Amino acid sequence: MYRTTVKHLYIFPVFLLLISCRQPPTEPSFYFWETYYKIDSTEKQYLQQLHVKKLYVRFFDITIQNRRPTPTGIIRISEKNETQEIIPVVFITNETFKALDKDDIHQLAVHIQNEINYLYPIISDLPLQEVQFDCDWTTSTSQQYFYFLQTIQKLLPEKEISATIRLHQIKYRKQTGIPPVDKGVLMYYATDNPLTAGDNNSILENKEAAKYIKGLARYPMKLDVALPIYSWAIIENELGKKRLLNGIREEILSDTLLYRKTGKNTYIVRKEHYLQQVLLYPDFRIKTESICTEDLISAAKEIRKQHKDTPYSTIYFQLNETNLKHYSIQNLNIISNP
Amino acid sequence: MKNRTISALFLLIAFSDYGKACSWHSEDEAFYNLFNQELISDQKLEPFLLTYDNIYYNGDFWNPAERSHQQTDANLEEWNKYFNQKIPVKDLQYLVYTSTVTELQAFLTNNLAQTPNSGLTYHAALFSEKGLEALQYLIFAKQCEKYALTQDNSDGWSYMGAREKMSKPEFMATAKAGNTLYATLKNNDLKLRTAYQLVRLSHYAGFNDDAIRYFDKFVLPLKNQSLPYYYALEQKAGALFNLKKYAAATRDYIQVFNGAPGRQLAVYTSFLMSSALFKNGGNLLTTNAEKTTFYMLRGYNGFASGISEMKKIYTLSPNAPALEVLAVREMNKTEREILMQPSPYSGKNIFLKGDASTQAYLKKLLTLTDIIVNNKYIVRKDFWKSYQAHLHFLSGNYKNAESIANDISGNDKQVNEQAKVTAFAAFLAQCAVVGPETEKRIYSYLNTHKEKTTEGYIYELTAHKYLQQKDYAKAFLCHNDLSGLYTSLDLKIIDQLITFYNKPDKNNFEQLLSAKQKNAMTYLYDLKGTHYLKYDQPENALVWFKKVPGNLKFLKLHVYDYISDTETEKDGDFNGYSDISARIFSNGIRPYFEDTQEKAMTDQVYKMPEFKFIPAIMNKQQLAECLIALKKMAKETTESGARAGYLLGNYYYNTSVNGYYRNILFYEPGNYYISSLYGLNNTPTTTPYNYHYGTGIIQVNHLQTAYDYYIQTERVSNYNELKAKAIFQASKIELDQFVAKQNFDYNFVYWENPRILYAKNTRPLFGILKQKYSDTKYYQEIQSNCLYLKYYINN
Repeated sequence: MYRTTVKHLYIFPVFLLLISCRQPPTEPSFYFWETYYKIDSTEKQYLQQLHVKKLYVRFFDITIQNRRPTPTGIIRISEKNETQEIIPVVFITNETFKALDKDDIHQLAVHIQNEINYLYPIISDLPLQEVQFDCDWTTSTSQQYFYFLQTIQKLLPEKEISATIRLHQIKYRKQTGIPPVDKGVLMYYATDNPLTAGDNNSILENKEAAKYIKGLARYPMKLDVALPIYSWAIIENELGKKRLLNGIREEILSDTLLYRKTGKNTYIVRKEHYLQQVLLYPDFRIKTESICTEDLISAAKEIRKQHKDTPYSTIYFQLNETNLKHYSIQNLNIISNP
Repeated sequence: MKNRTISALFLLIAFSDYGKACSWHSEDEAFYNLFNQELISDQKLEPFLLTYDNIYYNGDFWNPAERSHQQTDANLEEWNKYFNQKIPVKDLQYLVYTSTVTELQAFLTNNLAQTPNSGLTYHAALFSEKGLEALQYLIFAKQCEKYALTQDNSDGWSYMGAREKMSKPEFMATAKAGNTLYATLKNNDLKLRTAYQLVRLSHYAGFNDDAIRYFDKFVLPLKNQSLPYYYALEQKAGALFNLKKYAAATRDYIQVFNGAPGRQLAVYTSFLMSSALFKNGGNLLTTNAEKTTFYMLRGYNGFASGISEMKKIYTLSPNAPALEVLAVREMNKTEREILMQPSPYSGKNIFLKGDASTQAYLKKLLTLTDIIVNNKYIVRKDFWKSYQAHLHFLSGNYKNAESIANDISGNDKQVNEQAKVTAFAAFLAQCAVVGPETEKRIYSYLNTHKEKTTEGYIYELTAHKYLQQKDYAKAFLCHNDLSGLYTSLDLKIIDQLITFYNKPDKNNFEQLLSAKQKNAMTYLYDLKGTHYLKYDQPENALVWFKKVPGNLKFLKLHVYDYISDTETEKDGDFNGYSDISARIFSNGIRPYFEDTQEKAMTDQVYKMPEFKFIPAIMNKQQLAECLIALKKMAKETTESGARAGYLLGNYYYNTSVNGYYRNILFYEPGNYYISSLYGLNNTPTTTPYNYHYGTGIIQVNHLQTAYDYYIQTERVSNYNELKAKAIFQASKIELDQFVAKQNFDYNFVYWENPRILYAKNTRPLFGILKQKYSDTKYYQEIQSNCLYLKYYINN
């Protein structure tokens, strides 16, 4: 008895070592989430030097308009990608599935299939391999969403179908169910609602997120992981209404003629002016949110720990020059290989 | 800066939203809109008033672009003018919109009275010189059309709606034909239309420079600013936008907005597509009309600071309609906060108060409005005074609001009416007590004003004030008929209602309130009796039931059919008073709510001779009498006493929340879809704002009483079969009480960990059943019917 235990103790670390030695470094990939597709030189440089093989490109969103599922924000493609495999991503609001019956869902799946087939050749000459769906489904919509996924699988029989999985869907998987797809992407961010988060960082609070993935190793599906490299400002107008403005970090708000700093990452607007495409007026309030490299490393370590020995890829959200310049290529490599 | 924006829906993926109800919710009906936005002077700007339910104000939900006052087709009217009204509108519609190139060519060349199978109809006007030119133009326009229109039924899918692509040779050929036509045509209007076609064709084919050139060389020299001029200008603006000449594009778009009301929504949509127009657009605007429109559209954006844009417009042009549009919109935004309908689920209500940011915003609006009202060049003084009065009302300065509003009596009837609404709203808000004098004024106001939303405000506030002054009956009747008491049977309200309905000299408003319920006294006596029944006081109940007609019935089942969207009324299992089955004293091993009474309640003990006083069908008075008699019998330590106790155990269990007759004390016609017990917050708010959402649900369960009677039966009786029945029924109560004590969702526990429900400490009575009564017939019967017991025994 005693000997066996010792033997196990002895063998275990070596075993681990072997695994980690044998595993080649995995190259990360990126989400592309903008409405106009064009890759600029900085972005190209990151893609090249990180040996990125896959790019997850949001093609369009599905929302409910006039009680009908409608595509919005369809991507406008200005150039072909000849290097990476393109994986079309379709975002569907949860509200959409609340409004649809079986026939509607079937019709929607056919439309989506056709739209992807129409857009894909504009962006890539490689054969289409995988399609991803992004929906924050809940207990009340899981049946409809899963039926949709099964339908699309039948319509695209040769393709891999994947789906994004949010933190709460990992933790409460018995209630929300497990989507019938080939693989998933764990979205390791959005730990809070940015419009009500208070002082918390709504993009990622590592302590909060860690609570949600305790059972990650038991999740019955291959999971890649998406990590946040985005930033934004939460802007509040005079009547307390809030909206988000992407790509804003503290250093953009350093002009004291335009902004008065009221806290670590909070400001009040002093003068009417445009911040990107949004017109700001005096008395509007701003809170910025972003994730630093150290936090991303902790996040990656926690995921590695919970994911046990399962290999996975890291997908950064999202590819954009203004995001990239805050993370070095070397660090992004470390984060995707913790 | 790169010209690419992140998808707006990225916001949505960032957080999950569990709480949203799936049913349709109207933002525009969630508050009391007391200030009429339609008071603006320029009716053409109505679509730009504030709404959150539709894309545009008064826009049809299914077809938001359509608006009632824009039903007239401006383009067709132009054509009508062109033909001097000599062609009926129906024929004109076919000619302009439906006919094909082939049809028109056949029509033109054959000069036939009517082309076979065509909708085209012969009119002499068509074959005049002017008419023939028009036909020539239409043939060309229709050749261009396929390059300009997307398929109508694409629903936004680009694979379906792709505009037909134009090759360079095709463009050259079509443009050449257009050039020739332009040179040939004599009529100035048709020349303009042809020039418009050329501008549009170039714009859509991607030849933006050509589009601008055609406009300058073909459109401008005609000096014709009729409708097609603005169509062409809009196309040119699109071309300028493509060339990133945003300031020029903005100037042209704004001119289209001001010159062609029918294109206003389309122009605004262009502004929505890209912020570049707003951001870089102001520089080339020259006239005040252009600038005020620009600021209005910028302020129209829901997130903008309307007050800041109002100030800019005021400085330029104090009488601009654009200022009024923004003013009423900003007011409407604050009304949505201040006059939001109080929630039944929140103890803290801010009705009439609003939050700090809304109050601060109101102050800003008031400061500007004070300046406007004192400006002697302002034309619509009364409009602005009524606006000022209403701002005072929303800010809680009721005296100011009233005095300013009462001072308005000009020629504008609508403004005068608005002033009356504001004055009355302010009067009511500052009333400390609603007494006879106030009631008189409310009545007279309601009698002369019929707007639903003002009426809603009046009842909301009056009911609140009644409640504060403990006038429960009147507070209740502001929003309810007596059915509003079914779920609570609140005695303090019932008692006051009895006094109120007995009051002989009701004033007009009181009569209006009392009319909410016909034949009130009968129902009030029934409610009071039922209250006592619910609280297990049958003697007290009897006193009131005796005042109720024995055959009273009033409840109906409303069955909604989803497919046909119709509701039908039919008899339910319970009519409200007089059709209670004696089976309420029975039980079953495994009754389902959807079972018939016969199937669910199989136990026959209540039919034994000593219970012949129990009628097969009872009214509530008889039920109370039976309960009194059974209670008396149950006190005896005899077999009859044991059985009476057993019947009482059944009654209390059956009328509890999980019992088969749970609907009786909640006035539900059936026990299956029992809306009042489930799906709603069970306990009434301790301090409701008023009784707008009913009186809450008060649960009174007598499970312990039922349990005690069953245990007493087992103790007193000498018959094992009866003992076994009593113990088994009592064990159901063990389960109910166990679940009620746990702080979790029943379904969750049931599916996640059924073992908890079979554990020895959860169901100790199962142990007794097995130990003492396993040789009874009943034990065998339940074993084959009750999986719980089977599981328990086998473990």
